[in-house]
Amino acid sequence: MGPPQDEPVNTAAHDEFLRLFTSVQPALRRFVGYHFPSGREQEIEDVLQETALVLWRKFGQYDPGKSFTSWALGVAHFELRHSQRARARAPLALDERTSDLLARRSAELSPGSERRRNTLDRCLSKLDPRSREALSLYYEKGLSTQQIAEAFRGTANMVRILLFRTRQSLARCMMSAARQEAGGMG
Amino acid sequence: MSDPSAGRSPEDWVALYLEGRIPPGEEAAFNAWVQSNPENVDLLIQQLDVHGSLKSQFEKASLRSTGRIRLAGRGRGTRRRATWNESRSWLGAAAVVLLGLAIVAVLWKAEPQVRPAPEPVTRREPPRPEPEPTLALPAPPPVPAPKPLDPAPKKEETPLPVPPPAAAPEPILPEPPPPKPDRTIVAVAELRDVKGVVLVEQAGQRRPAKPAQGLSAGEGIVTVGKDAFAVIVFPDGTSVELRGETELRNLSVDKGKRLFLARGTLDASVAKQPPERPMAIETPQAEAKVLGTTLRLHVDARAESTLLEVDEGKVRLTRTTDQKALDVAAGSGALAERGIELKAKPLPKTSLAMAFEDAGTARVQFGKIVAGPKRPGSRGCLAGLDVPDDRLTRVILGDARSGLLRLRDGAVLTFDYWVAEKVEALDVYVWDKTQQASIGGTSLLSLTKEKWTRVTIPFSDFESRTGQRLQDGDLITELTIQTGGTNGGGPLFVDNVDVTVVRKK
Repeated sequence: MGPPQDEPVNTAAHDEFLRLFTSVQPALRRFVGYHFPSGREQEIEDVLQETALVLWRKFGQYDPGKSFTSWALGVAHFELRHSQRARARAPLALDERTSDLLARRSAELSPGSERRRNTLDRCLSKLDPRSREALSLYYEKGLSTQQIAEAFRGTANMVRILLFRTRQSLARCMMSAARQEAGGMG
Repeated sequence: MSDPSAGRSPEDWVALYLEGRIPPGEEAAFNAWVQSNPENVDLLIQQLDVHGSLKSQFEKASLRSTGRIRLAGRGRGTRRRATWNESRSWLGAAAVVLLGLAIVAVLWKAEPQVRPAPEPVTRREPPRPEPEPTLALPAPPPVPAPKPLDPAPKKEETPLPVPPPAAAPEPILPEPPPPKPDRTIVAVAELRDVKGVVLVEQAGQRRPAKPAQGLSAGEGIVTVGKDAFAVIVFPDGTSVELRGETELRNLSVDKGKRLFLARGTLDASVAKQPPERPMAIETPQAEAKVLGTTLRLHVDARAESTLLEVDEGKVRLTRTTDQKALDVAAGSGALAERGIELKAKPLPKTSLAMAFEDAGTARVQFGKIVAGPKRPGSRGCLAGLDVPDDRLTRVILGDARSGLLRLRDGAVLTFDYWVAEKVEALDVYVWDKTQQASIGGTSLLSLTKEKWTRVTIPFSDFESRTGQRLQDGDLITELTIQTGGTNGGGPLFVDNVDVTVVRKK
């Protein structure tokens, strides 16, 4: 199916690769981002680029009868480890087993995840002002939970719990909104 | 069996992981906690997904509501630049580039390279000693050269299918140098007041702008970053101000001034234009022709729609998809969007007037209509409700669907309040849906106690704790008034909440 190394480029394979790759790239970015939640954007970009290269080079070995998402996440999982070793970077907090669990579960959850993301706006508007302000301070202004706690005259632990529960509420709301949308479309 | 959570709560683990602060030596415990229960995996994915979405959301808030054109007026620009999100589908671009490279490599072997012919020489440009550096925009990052992978088989185990290693990549061919320009620039406008990162775009090439630089037909201006600012001035005095993340393309004056706003915000002060040569401002969805009037255009890039609002005069709006045209008169607006009938509607509110007599209102989201402390001529007011967790008393007025009002420069908030003796301060803040931010006014500390008092606060004074300010055109969906200070809540009554606009002359 895909082009073996050193053979002329097959236009149909290009098209197919592009189609599959485009569909999987949000899931790839999300999965790689799982390993760098507090930033390290350059490392995310490096891993994504290397993953893209490997996926293209090995596209000929991809079995069309299987999930491209699972295959791509598997490659990303591998590249994450390889990249950290090859570049002598700080080790990842997620070990291989956890990373593998996330890759597998992520592949299962991937369908519909973009639809869920699209409902975030609506769900944010349903939050109470305090939660929204906490989110804004944390995500937009980059304040730490300790700094937010000072602004709120509370404790860092209180802010962590507030953020955790707010994310949980948002997740539930997004899930419900996406389900409604899907129902409406059907 | 040992406790896999190591005594930490899920909130703790998630917070520590998201902040990259898992204490040294506790990584194994964290991984054990995740692996101990499939629900923990789902919980971590849920938190990471929302975490990633929120990062993107807050970073690209400004870009979602991009593309505001305003004529005859000025505003502040405090929007942020997106740094990473899915709107930058650089991976797609990377794939295209990779495929392109592969195709080029194959073609290179088969055929001699053909260089593009230089553009026809139509104008002469003053000689440049050195080509100026081209700046990259904060859009898809460039794709570096493919890096050779380890040719040895990678022995790392992975439960998911991993293809065998690949051979070394194809070498990347150098791009042919661009043809040297040999043109004469006929300036049709001048760039003034350049601040921050401002680029001039010509035929896909971008270079830093200079103050007082002449602009020729076909050129565009890109302002990068929230503090970027530039003004284009035409010979007849018409000026166009760009700010924030804005991209203006294809400056033209052949059949009247013509601009294309791809994204961002512009304010323009337009001199009277000849009837046969109106100034045209295009967006991806529509075109507005201006003969000397006051209008506002909002381009929502995600919804692929353009909203026109006309304050004075009349504007002809043409939807580009079907060329359907509509004259929009003063005080009206029209939405150009595929599949929606093109018709004029009354403008969104820019003012607010709420009294709380007898009956409730759907806009009271938090609070209770009561008789309240007596006053001549008033039968009711809005009483604040206690929020024990936050030790304060609060009222919230809101309209999440349509919004309370669209903010205009010069808007002020006025309301009556009555507070108990122990209340130390009043805080007022709004939810700015456009910026997705909660932004508050200065705390009112010199309160008159236990007596109805009217207070006025300019929205220009509103600022979040981190410096974010309200902007002209922002949609306000909630207004909160609450007690502040350290004494906790106390009786609070509010009435006659008004927002009015003090127009500039």
